[in-house]
Amino acid sequence: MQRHIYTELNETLVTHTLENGLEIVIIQKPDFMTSSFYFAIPYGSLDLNQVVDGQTVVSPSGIAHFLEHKLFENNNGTDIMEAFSSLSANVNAFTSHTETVYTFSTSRKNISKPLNLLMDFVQNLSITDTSVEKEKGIIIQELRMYMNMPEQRLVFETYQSLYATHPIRLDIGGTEESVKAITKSALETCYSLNYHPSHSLLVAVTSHDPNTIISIIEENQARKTFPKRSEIIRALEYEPKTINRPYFEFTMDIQATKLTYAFKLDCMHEDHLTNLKQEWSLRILLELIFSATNPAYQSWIASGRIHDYFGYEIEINHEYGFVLFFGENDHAEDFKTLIHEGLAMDVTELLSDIDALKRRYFALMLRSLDDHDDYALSYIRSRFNKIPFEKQLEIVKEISVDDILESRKLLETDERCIVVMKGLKNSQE
Amino acid sequence: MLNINYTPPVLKLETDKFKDFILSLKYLYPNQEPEVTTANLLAYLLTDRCEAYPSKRAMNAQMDRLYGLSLDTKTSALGFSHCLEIRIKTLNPRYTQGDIVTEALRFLNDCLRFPLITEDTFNEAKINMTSALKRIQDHPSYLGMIEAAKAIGHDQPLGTFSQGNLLTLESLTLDEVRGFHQKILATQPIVFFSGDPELVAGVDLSTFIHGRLSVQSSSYAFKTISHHESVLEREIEQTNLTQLYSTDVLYNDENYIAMRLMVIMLGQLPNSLLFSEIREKRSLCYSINASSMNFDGIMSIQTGIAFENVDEVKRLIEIQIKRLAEGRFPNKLLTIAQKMMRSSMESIADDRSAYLNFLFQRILTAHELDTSDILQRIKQVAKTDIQAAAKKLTKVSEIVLKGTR
Repeated sequence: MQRHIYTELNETLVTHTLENGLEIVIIQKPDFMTSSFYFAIPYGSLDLNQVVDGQTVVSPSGIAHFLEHKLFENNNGTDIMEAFSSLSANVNAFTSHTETVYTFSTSRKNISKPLNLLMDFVQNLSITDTSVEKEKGIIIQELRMYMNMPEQRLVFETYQSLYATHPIRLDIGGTEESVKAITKSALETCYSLNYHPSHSLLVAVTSHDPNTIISIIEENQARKTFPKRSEIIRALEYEPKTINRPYFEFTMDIQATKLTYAFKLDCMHEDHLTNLKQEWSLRILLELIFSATNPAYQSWIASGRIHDYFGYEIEINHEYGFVLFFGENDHAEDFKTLIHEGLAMDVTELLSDIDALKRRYFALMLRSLDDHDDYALSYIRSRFNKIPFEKQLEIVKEISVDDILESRKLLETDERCIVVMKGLKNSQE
Repeated sequence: MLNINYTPPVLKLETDKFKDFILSLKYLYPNQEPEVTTANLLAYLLTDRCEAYPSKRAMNAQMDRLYGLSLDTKTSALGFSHCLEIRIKTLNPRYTQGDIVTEALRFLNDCLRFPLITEDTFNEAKINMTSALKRIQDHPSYLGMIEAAKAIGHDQPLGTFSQGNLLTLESLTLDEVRGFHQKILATQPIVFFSGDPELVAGVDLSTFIHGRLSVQSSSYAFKTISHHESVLEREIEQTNLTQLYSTDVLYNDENYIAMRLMVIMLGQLPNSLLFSEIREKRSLCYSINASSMNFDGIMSIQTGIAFENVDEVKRLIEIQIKRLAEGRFPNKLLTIAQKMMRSSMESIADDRSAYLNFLFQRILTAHELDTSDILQRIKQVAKTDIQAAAKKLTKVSEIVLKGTR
């Protein structure tokens, strides 16, 4: 067991790994009534092709999300949701591109029962063909709900334009066809491959004594045996460096045209820390150019080329990298021109603001530690990316002016795409 | 540790568990047009630029100097009253250098008292607000709620959308906004300050105290003699069903807690009647929920479904409400609802925004600020109280947004 006391934050971090490989992290925050627990598996929507002992296991899109739904299946006659509620615990779960997380929070002093329940239900899949079929109707309605959301649809189409084969282009929940194709057997296979204590992380954010929590977990795990787990590697099809669709337009029942202009980056490294540093360097550069920090920003607004619905997103990891600008503009070419005007700007004068910007990001990171979900998720992602958590907090401080200026080169690429989402009235013009 | 001290108009919340401090000012005025739209537009202007920092860059630079201070405004409806809140939040001085608190308060005062309200900033704010209102209406669930409320609320606060109205916005003038701003400045807000004990003890809030606080309970129980149902078409994948029911219960009536528990049992628990019967047993939806608009005496139900199942879902909703009214529900459902509501009240102080909101509503309705009486009342609710609450429900509005894609 390792213990780190952060006096200035009034927090203690305790880490411990059990014999079966389950990693436990306890963030002790005194004075909080609520305790929150997160059981995280590094298995998400991107894990469609997995190589196990030399064999490739191919899964339908959306299976990780489907599995998350099925973990809540009535387990030996126990309604999991009701069981948590009767213990005054709020239970929830989500699936992202890279992980599935099961969580509960409670203000009750007795955390032993819900904690045991969390471990028991996540570590036991009990499904039938009938229950799998029943779930399909629910998930299909969920997919349609997200397709009704304009911003979600715009991002989805942007990923489709950027990537030809990488599974980031697919919705986390899959498609209606892929969901209908999922079988009980496929779910059980994915479960047995990926849900193993040595491939899991249990994070607690609580005021309780860490030793008590570790004892509860150890006692629970000691009652269970798990088969040996094979090493699993995510396999990817070759993704071309080129853009999949340079231009795509579609309509939705909305009132104003929205669009994205995205850059497909070719800068990914195996080392996650390098990727994180690149991402932050680029983020700071774009913040200097495309925010109120830049005097030109006000003139873009004044001339009606952008308004407050304008922004960007960046992601750089070991598999893919992109920058995506979004806004509301009837003229895609003008939007493109504006982005390039900004990227071509001499930022020398703006560099004096870097320290203030870094201070802002550091302060925001520190403040986010007050939110249990933000704190836990940051920790989970840093562990799964093999980046020390403290490093995530320090990296912004380490970024130099040269790093920021150098990051501009990442956007010197012809691999760019535009996606335009027009309203029904606009599409008739 | 957690201490509350309320000496009107200032509420101080001493707690050392958060890494930042908050100062929030809440202004009240009638929940009607054009005040609501004007307030929403003013909300944009208050956070844009001010005389001391007349460019966005200068504003940004000052906020970054104050360790990424966030300056936000928010509007909300509370029955007959509407509220404009302006709030700052930044890092606790124990993590910073310099007198950040005095500077932060000065910054808030500058933005509040001397915003730049010019032709340019006014027009820019109008563009942003117009765009935001249109985006809200692009979302089927929000549109369903707006249309359902508008259809029957024309002579009551329910019919006024809390974020403003496009037609009113179009005709709003610069002078009207300036006039409203002056009215706001002449109104004494409720002042909330939350931070650790030394900070709270030493903070000087006198700049924000200039008059007598006048607070009247603004909650009402919606009543109507008509009932509205309609089907609107949108080119969307999924159909959205929105229903509004009058509860005939005022905020903090003696039946109020029973009504809240009834809504939780109907559609907020993971094993609620709507969730169990419509989603889990019949796979007719992914999301279905019930919620209460506490200051209006209204309960809403919303769900996304396939159009061909609308009648079936409506029938099932009716059955669940009838089950509650007739007591045909398991006792443990009430027990669980009570546990969850108690748990939520016990831990409310861990979520400062939710806690400040709760305290604000308690002040507005002249009630005790601590949660012990609520916890007691939750315990005392019996099955017959739930039945009585469900019997009072009357459906007043229903909108089906039919997906035609």
